[in-house]
Amino acid sequence: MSEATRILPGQARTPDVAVRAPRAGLFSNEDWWSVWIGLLVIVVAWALFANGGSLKWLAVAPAKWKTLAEAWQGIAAHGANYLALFAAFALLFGTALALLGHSLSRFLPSFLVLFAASLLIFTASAWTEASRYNLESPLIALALGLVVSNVFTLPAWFQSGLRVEFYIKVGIVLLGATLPLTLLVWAGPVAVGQATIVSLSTFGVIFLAGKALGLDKRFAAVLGVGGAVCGVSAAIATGGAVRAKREQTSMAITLVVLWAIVMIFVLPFASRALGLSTAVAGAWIGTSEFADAAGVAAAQAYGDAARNAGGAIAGAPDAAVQAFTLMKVVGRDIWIGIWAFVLAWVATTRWNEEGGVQAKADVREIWARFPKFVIGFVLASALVTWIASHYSLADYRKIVTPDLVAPISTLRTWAFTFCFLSIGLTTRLRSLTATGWRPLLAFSIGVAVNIVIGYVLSVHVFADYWNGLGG
Amino acid sequence: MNAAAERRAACCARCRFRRDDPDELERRVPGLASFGSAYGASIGASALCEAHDAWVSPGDSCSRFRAMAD
Repeated sequence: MSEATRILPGQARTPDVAVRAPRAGLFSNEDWWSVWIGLLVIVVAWALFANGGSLKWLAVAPAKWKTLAEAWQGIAAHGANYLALFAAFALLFGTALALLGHSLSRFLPSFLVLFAASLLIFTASAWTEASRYNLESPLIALALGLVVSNVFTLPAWFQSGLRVEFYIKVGIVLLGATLPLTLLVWAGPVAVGQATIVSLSTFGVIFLAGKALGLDKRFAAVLGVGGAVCGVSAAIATGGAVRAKREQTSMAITLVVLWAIVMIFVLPFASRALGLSTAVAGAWIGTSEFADAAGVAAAQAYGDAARNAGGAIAGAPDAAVQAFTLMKVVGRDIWIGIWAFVLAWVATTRWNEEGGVQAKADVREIWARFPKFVIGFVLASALVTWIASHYSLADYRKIVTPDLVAPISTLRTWAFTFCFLSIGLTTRLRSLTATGWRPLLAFSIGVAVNIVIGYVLSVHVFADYWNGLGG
Repeated sequence: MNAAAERRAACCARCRFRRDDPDELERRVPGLASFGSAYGASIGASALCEAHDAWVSPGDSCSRFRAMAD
C-alpha cells in the first residue's frame, strides 16, 4: 500500500466547490437531503397511486432476457422511460448536491456516466443465466468499479457523481417503505440487543489488542469503533471526538475499506455454503459488515441469489436487506453519537496531553453526529404502513404492492446500484494509507471475533426472530 | 475584552489553521469518500487542524492559535 495522500497547506480550493452550506440545519448535510428526497419520492408515488395512477412508468428496470437482441430491444422500447428516470434522479440529486456546495457542471456529466453504467449492470444481472455464474448486480458493479478505478486514471470531474454514502442513504430511506412499522418495532429490540453484544465485544477486543500492540489510545479507539459500529463514518466521528491524528483516521479507514470489500464477497458465499436463510444471513452481515453501503451490497447479492436459486435458499429475497438494515442501521448506526460522546469524554478527561489541543466533550455531539437518514427510514415505514392499513392483506398484495411499493423498490435498487458502482470507482487501492502490521493485526483480531459472535447470535440464538422477518 | 472572552475567542473556530471544507477533507483523508462522506452528519462540527494534523472541534484551543486573516 502506498503513502498517504498529502495536500499542501494553503492549496487553493478546487472549482468543484462553489459555496459551502453551513453544517447545521435541515438542509445542511447528505443525511437530511436523503430524508427529503426519499420522502418526496414516496409522497409523489402515493399521490399518483391515490389518484389511480402509479410511479411505474418512471420506475423502469430491465426485464429478463436470453439474447443480447432481447436485451437491447428491452432498453430501446423503454428509452423514453430511462431518459425520464435519469432526468428525475439528476434533478433530485443535483439539487441536493448543488446546495451542499458541489458543482453541477461536474456532477451532471459524471452522473450521466454513472447512470449509463448502472443501466448496463442492471441489464447484465437480468440475463436469465446470470445467477448460474453468480452475476448479482452488486458484485458486478463493485468488481467493475474496482477494475476501472485501479487500472485507469479517472478524471477529477468524474468524482463529483460518485457519492457513495448519499446514494445508500437515499436507498435506505426508500427501503423503509417496504418494511412495516410493526415489524420494525418488533424486530428493533432484537437488533439492538444483538448488535450491542457484538459491538461492545468487537470494540473491546480491538481496543485492548491495539493497546497491547503499542498503539496510541486514540488510534485504538478509532480502530475499535470503526470495526464495531459503522466503519468509515464511525472512524471519522470517533476521530473527531477523541481529537485523533489525521493519519490515524486514514489508517483506520484503510482497514475498514479493505475488510468491507473482502466481506462483500466472502459473506454471501459463506452464507450460501452454510445454508443460511436470507434473513439470518442478513442479520449476520449486519453485525459483520463495516459500512452500510458494503453491507447492503452483500445482503442484496445474497437476496438476488435467493431469488434465482429456485428455493435452494430459504426465505424471502428481500428479507436479507431488511434484516441487514435493521441490524446495522437500527442496531449499530444510531448509537454513533453516544459512542462519540463517551469516548470524547474519556479522551478529554483522561488522555489530554500537556501542550496539545485542549478540548471538552460536548453532549450535543450525540445529536449532531446522529445519522439523520434513519429518521427518513422510520418515517417512510410509518407512512406506507398507514397507507396499507386502509387495505385488506389480499388487496394490499394485489393493489398496493404492484402499484405503490414495487415502483419505490425499483427506485431503491437504482439508488443502491449507483452506490455499489461508486464504491468501486472511488476505491483506489494505491491511494490508501499504509497501515503497518500492528493496526492491521489489532483490527483483524476484532474482525475474527466479530464474525464468530455475530454468526452464533444470528444463527443459533436469534434465528427464530430473524426468520420471522422472512415471512 | 475580559480574560474569559479572550479565551473563548482564541479557539479553533476562529483559527487560521482550521480546515473544515468537506471537499478538502475528502481529498486529505484517503478512502473517506469510498464508504463515508465529509458531507454527512457523522462528521459533526469536526475539522482538521493544519498545525496539529489532527481533528479538532470549534471550541477547542491550544497555544498555537492564530486568528483568521480579516
